Amino acid sequence: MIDPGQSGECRVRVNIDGVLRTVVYGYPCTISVDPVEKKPLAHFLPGTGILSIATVGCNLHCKNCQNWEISQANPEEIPAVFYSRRKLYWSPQDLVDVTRKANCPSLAYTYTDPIVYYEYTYDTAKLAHEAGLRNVLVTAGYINSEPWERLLDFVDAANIDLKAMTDEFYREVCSGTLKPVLNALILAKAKGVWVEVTNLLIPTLNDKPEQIRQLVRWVRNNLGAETPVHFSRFFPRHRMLNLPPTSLKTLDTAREIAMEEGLQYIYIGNIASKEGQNTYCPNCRSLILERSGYNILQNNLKDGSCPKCGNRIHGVWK
Amino acid sequence: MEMTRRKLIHKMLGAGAVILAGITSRISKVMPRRFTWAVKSRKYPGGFRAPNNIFRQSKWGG
Repeated sequence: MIDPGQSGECRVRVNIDGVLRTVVYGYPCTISVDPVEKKPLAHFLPGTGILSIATVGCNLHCKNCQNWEISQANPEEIPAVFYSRRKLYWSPQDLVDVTRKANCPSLAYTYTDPIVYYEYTYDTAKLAHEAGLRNVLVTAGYINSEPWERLLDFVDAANIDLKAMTDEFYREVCSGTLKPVLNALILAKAKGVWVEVTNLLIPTLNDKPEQIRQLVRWVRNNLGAETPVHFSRFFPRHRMLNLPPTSLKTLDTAREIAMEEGLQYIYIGNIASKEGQNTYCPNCRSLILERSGYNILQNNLKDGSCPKCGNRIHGVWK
Repeated sequence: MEMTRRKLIHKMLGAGAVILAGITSRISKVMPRRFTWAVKSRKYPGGFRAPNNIFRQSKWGG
């Protein structure tokens, strides 16, 4: 319950005279065209730009958040980006128009969590969908099923964080719980959204081989072996400055475990890794997409398939 | 007026319905709803800044 005059956990939904109001609708704090690979999405329109927006606020409070300056801030502390000096507000139509002007095929609701600016995400995604643009969510997936299902009607792809496989981790590190996240992942997949999973490996907290194995098994059994998993390198940030960055060895071990468990597309992020950033055919191991950072160096896809063996490479390619 | 069995049952049903409506209303106020659509606020509580070059990659992760 949010008391009158107070905001919720996310800081941006406020009870004003008994009415729940979102104070960030139309007021993004950042707008940029990013490479889609930065979300990260490895199997969704590779090599394209994506208009990416966020407002302040988050419904989780991860001690290691890399964007904590905006996710854990009050809207009073962070300026919104104005549309023009005469018009401060960005309507959903303005975002669609800018996406088109920027020649981007898609929009991303990202950086903080689109769930806290749900109404803005929903209205913009609906309009963008009607305009023939694609919608991407980058989210922790900490949401109830009903609003999630409604939003997914207009979502084409999502990168969803699966931070760990224990409730204890979610409670202690993020002030959340695990179950809604697992439900969100399953629902997104069931609704036909292209889903990629990110798992940030934090030394001593979720990087033991058995913890990694449990996570990749869950992904394989519930989302399918074709679901890309991104193991991401942790850097000390925000309220978790006491732990070292994840070693390359740990990230490589995670990739090996995922391969042993039968996942078909495994990536390593936040670190230069030759093998861990490319896409290979799961059947013949031919190089399909060669990447350097967020750049595509080679795209050998042939009609969404491996040029050598003809095996279908899962993803949204056009 | 004479109280018949039928009238008594009607009165009891009516009273039951009022009590049930009251309890439901009370519960809905006390129990958090799982899905509430927030209303747009007209005003942003913070300040504003000019947009950077939107074609430059964001400094934020994700």
